[in-house]
Amino acid sequence: MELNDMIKTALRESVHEAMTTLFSMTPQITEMELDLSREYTLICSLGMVGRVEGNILITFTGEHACCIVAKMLDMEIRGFTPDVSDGVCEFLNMIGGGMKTRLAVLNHDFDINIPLVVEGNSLNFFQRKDMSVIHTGFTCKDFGFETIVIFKLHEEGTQPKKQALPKSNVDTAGMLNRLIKDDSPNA
Amino acid sequence: MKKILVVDDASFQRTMIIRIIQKAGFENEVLEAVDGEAAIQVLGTNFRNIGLVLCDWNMPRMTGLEFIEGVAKVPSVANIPIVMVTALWTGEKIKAAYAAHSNLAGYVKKPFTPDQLKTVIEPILQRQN
Repeated sequence: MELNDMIKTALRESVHEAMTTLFSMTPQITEMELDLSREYTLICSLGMVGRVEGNILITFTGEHACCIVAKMLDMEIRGFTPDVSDGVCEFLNMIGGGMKTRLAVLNHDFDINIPLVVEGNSLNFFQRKDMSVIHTGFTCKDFGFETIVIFKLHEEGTQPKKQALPKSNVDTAGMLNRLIKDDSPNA
Repeated sequence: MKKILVVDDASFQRTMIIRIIQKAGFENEVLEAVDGEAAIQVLGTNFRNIGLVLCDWNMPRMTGLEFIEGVAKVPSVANIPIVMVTALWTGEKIKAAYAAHSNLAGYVKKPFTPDQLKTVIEPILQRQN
C-alpha cells in the first residue's frame, strides 16, 4: 500500500474510533483538494517525528470546537475558554495516537509531540514543497472539522534520530518508603 | 470511603475522568497528580486512604510505567489497585505494564466511553467501599 493510502486509512480509522467512542457518532468523510486560500479561525497542530515526519492539523470553527468539548465533558460550554483549547488538543491527541499505533504496525512509526492551538482570524497555512498533503473533511449531525496531514517519509535509516526520553532518576520505591515511614505513628 | 488518585499530565483528561466518575454516581473523593513524581507524593502521604489509582503512561518527569514499577516494590502500596488509562495500547506496551506491576488491576484504552471506564473501576470500588 502506498504511504498516502496508509496515512489516509490510519487517519480515517482513528477519527472514526474517536468519534464513535466519545460521541457515539459516525463521521461522514469528504476528501478535499487543498485550497490555500481557505481561512480558519482555530487550528490545532500535532507534530510527527520519525520515519514519517510532519504535522497533523485539525481545524474548527469556534462554535464547533465548543460543541465537541461540551460533548467530551458532558457539560455546557459557553465561549472559547482554556477548557476548549485543552479539549481540542486532547481530541487531536487521540487521533494522533491512533494514527501512530496503526502506522507503527506498518513500519512507518513516528512520535507525536504536545498539541498546539492557534486561535485568531483569517488564519492561513502554507505547504512546504517537499511535503505531501492529505486534506479531509469530517462531519456529523452536530459539528464538522477538517484535517490536514502534511508529511514526508524518510528512507529507512535516514530518519531523524529518536531522542529516547530520559528515564526519571527518582528512586520511586525509596521516596514512597520515606513518605510512608514519616506517616507512621512511631516516626 | 477510599479515595481515587488520577495521574495524567493533561488536565483536560483528568477533568474528563473525574466527571465520568461523578456522573457514574461514585462519591469517592478524587485526588490528582500531573505525573509520576507528583503521584509519588500524593500516594505516599495518602496511602492509607487511596483505594484506586488511574494512571496515564506518557508523562513528563516520570512515566506511568516508571511509577507503577516503583509502587510494586513497596509492600504498603503494592496492593492498591492500579488501572492504566492510556492511548498506548500495543501488545508490547501492555506486556511491559504487567511486567512492571504483576498485580495491575486493569487497562483502559483511550479514547474510552464512560461505560468502558465504569466497567473496569466499578468492581474495584465496590470491593473497596
